[in-house]
Amino acid sequence: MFTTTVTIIGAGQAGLAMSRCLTERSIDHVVLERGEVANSWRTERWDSLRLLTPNWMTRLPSHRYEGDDPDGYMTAAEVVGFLDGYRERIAAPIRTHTEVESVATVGTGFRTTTTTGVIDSAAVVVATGACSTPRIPALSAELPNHIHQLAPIEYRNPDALGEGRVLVVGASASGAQIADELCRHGRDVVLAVGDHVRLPRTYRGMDIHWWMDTVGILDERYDEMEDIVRARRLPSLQLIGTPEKRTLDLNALHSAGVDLVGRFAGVSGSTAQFSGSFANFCDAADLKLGRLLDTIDEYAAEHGLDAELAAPERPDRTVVPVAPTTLDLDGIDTVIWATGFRPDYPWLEDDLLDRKGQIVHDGGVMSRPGMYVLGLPFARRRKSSFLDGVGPDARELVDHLAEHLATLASRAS
Amino acid sequence: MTTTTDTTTPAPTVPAEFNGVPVEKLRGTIAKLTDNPELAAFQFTARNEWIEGTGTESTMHEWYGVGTDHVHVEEFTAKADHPTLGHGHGPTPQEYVLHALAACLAAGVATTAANRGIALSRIDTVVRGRIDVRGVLGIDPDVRNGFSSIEVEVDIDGDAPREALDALVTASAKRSAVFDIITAPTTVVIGTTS
Repeated sequence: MFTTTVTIIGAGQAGLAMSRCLTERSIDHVVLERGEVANSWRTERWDSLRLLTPNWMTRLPSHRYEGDDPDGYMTAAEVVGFLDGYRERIAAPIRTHTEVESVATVGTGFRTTTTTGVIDSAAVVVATGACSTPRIPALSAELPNHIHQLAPIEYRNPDALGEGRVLVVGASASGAQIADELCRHGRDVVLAVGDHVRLPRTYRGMDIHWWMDTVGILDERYDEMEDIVRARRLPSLQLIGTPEKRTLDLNALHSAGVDLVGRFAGVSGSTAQFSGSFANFCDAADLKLGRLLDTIDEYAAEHGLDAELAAPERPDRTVVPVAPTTLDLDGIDTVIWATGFRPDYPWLEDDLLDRKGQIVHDGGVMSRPGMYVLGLPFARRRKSSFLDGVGPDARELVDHLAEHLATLASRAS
Repeated sequence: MTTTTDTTTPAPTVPAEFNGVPVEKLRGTIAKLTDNPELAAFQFTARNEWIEGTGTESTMHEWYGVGTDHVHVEEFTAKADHPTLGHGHGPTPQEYVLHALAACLAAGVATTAANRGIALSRIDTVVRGRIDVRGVLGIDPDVRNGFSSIEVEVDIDGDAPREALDALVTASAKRSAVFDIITAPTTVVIGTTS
C-alpha cells in the first residue's frame, strides 16, 4: 500500500506536464504508466509520422524545443526523445509497466488498484489522452474475410501491408497522411471522405499554426463556445508536417493519384457503398476554410501586419471528379479505419461517465471532487489535446486541485 | 428623492417566429429531446391506394413522435402516375423524390437562417434528376433503376451577404433528412399482408 497526495494516470506529455506543475507546488504525487514514458509515441505511431505542429510549438512547463529546426516538424521518435528528456529534467516520479485496474472512491480520497500495487491518494488526474482506443464502425463486421483491417495505431509503413488496393476510411489528419504516403509509394488507394477540416500548411508566408496561435484561436476557451459539443467532435486538421511545408488537402491528394469517394455508408454483399454527399462535405470544408482565412486577414489588418506579409489569397475550391458511390470489395485488400477514437475507461466508476462513456467534466474538473482529466479535445481550450495545450491546462487545474486539498485540510483540522 | 411615474417600455419581445420558424419552440424541443432521447423516436406513414394502371393516391395523416401518436391538421393526399403510360392522375413517384429534396433543403435553409438571425425573402429551389429508363424497363441490367445524378439549384434572397446566404444551403444539406435518405443506403423491407 502506497499513499501519496496525487495519482496521475499516464506518463505522456499530459501526465508529465501535470507532474511538473505539482512539483512546482511541492505536492507529492506518483505517475503511473502502462508502458514506458511516452508509450503511445513509441508504440502506436507509424514510422514516418511527424507532428503536424511546428517544433517551436512544443512547449511544456519548464521545457521547450531548443533544437535547430524550430519551423520544422518533429518525428515520433524525436517526440519520444523530447519527452524522455523532459521526464529526466523534471525528475518525474514514474512507475512504468503499471496498468490501472480500477480507481475507487474511498471517503474523500481514492484507491487506485494497479498491476504493481495499490495507491491511496487525495486526488487523481486522468492523463491517458484521447487516442488510445480506435473507434471502428459496425460496418467493419460486414467486410469480406479476405480484407486485412487495421486502425492507424497499428499501421507502420506501406511495405507492411499486402499488395493490392487499399481503402482508407476517413480524411482527417491520419487518414489523409496515410493515404498520401501509400499513394507516393505506388499503392492503389481509395480515400472515403466525410466531414473534414481543410487548411493550407502556410498562409501569406506563415505557418497556419502560427496564425491560429497568434490570432488566439488555439486559446479559445471551452466556456466561450456556442456549441462545445460540436467543437469537441471536430475532425482533426487535414495537415501534414513536411520539410517542404506542403498542403495536404483533397485537391492535392487527387492530383497525387488518390481516388476519392464519399463517406463509407454501407456494405451490400461484396459491394461497398459510399454516400452521395461528398460534394456537400467539400463545400462545407471550403466555407469553413474561407471563414478562417477571413478571420486571419482581419487580424492582420487590425494589427498592422499587412506590410510584412504576402497578399491575402484564397485556395482553389475543392474540385474532384464525381465520385462513384459503390466499390467492389473483392478488389480491396486492406481497409484502414482512420475513423477516430472512442472513450474507454473500464477502470473508472460508471457515475463518472456520460451515456456515451465519455468522462463528465467541466473544463477538466471531473464530477467527483478531487478528480481531474487532462488532454481531451477542447477540454479547457481548443488546444487542450495538443502538445502545446497540456501545459496551460495543467497549470490551471493544479490551482483548482491545490484549493481542493486546502479545503480537505481545513475540514480535517 | 422624488419618484417619477415613468412609463417604462417593456423589454422588446423576441419574435415568436423568424422567417416563419418558431425559433424558441425549436430550441426548447432540442433541449427536451437531448435530455430524453427516447422521445426522439419518430415514425411517419404514407398509405397508398391504387386508382388504375400506374395511377395511385397516398394519404398522409397519422404520425408518431415525442412519445405519442399524432395526426396532421388535415388528411394530406398526393397522387402519382406515369406521364406516357398513365392516365394523368399525377406526376411520377421520382418527381416526388425531387420535391421531397427541394422541400427538405428549403425548410432547412429557412430554419438555419432563422437560427442565425438572417431574414429571408425568397428561397427558390430547382431540382433535376437524370435517369436512364432502360434500368426500370429491364432493358439493361447494368443500368441502375434510380437517378444517376441529382442537381439542385437554390436561389436565395435575404438580408445577408451572398456568401452567408450560400452557406445556408450547405448547412441545410448537412442536416437534411431527405438528402441523407437519397445519398446514403437505407434499409427497405417489403412484405405483403395477406
